[in-house]
Amino acid sequence: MIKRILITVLLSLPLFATAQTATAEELAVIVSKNSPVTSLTDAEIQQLFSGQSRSVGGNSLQPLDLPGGDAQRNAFYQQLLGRSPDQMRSHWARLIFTGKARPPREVNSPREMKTMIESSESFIGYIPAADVSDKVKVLKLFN
Amino acid sequence: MYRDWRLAAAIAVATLSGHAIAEDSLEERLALAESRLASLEKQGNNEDRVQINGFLTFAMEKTNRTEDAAGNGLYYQGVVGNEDWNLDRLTRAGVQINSKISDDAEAVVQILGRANEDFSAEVQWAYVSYDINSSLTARAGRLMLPFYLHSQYTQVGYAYPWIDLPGEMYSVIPLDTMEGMDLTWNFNTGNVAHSINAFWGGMDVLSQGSLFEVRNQHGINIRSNLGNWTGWYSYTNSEVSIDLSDALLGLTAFNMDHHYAYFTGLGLQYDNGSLFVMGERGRLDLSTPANWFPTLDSAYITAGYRIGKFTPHLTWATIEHNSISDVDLSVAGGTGGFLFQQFGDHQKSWTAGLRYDLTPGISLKAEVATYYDFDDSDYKSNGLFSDPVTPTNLAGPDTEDPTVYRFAVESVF
Repeated sequence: MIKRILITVLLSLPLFATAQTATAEELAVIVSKNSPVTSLTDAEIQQLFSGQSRSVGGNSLQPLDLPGGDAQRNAFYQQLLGRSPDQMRSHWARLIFTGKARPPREVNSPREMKTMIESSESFIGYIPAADVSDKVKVLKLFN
Repeated sequence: MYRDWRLAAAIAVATLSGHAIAEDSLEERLALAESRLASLEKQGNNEDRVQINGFLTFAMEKTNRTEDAAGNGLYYQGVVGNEDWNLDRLTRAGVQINSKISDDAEAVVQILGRANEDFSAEVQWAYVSYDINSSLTARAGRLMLPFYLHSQYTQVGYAYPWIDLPGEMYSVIPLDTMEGMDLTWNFNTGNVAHSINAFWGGMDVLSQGSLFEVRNQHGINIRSNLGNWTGWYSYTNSEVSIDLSDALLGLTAFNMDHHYAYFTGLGLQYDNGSLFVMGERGRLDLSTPANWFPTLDSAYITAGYRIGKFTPHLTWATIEHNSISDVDLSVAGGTGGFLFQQFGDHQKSWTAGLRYDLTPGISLKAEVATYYDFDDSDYKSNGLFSDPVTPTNLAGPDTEDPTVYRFAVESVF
């Protein structure tokens, strides 16, 4: 009986997760149109945004972040790494105080993120899919 | 008439100055905008060049009534008793400054103040790092000792679930930095990200009132990440010298002169965002005259589950030493056995804890740890408790369940 309840609870957990994120806007992971990077695996995107790597295939890529507390930023990390803002803060605390990596540079708005990526090949970021322009390349869509 | 002239003049002056003010304000506004832009740009650069991060822990601890059979009070780690809350053993704050020297080089200084040292700031680390290429980094200065899975951030309580890292493992070597240099190589094999680190250095360790001079300390460690899994392995060896002749009233038989020592650690962690499980094993061994220093084996396993902002977790930990029968008691009237007992810790513990994430950057924690199995067939040990009045008293806790309660506020900023 207990086992059954547990299984029911466990099976329903992902339901809550999807119910939460379905309301969020669709997000696009983007680089500049001129970037030599044409595709990234999920693992590569995860490594770039969690400070485990700074380049892909010899091309240096610097991740950008929306401001702390931003709903799109929170949704992005929930989808990419399954981590809450609290957990991301712990994650970065581990890396910062190890001297191993710095968290992504923070921009002020999705508009600034888009402008920066449009104007430089060295950045990677995420913006609402609806805002994608022809000056950027979409590498991954989260919905 | 005269008055009119005055009025006209006043109006003219006012109009003129009005123009002047308008022009001024336009120029001023431009200048202001320019200076704002410049300061923004500068800020942008500074943000890239200098980063300041800090952490703070406030923790309080208390034991239940823990005594030996004769009624002598025993204190956890020598300071945590049952009468008053101990507020300073784990309370600490630190600031870390990362400053870019060039695109490839960086200087990092971390300053730490501990409440039990009146927050007198000490430089926890200070090093210069240089990126030889995108995957190879060299560092020199005062570095963290890379012995454990959580070695690099032992002072940053916010980074781990416990208030006190498992003492059976993390207090075996009562120090977390060394002077030296290291080389770190980051690379990927498929989806597995690896970081291999090799280091060389030395340190002075004060333990049980004796100074261990650790020299030519060198080792290698590897950390590998695959999705939710992290693996850790470290091996370090060194040459240790110690002069015990003062402590032992002129006895020199147990002194060490560049004697071989090693530490090895193995860790595994799984964390899928909700469930996490982690465990470590470690062994410290020093080759000593008459084998007076015990071989210490440590291990712990922790499991926790995040439910929204709450993270309940449970840990089992153990520390054991080799048998005292390994000590050669024929040397100097068996004094080696006495030394062995001073350093030979034996205990197990269960720790149940709860972390509450108030907001990103601040967490509240509570935990209860209960300790047992201090006995060995050959002799009693105090485990990580001790009698501050008579440090050589090793009668062992006689309390049913020696327990430590802890509460903490942890922050990073």
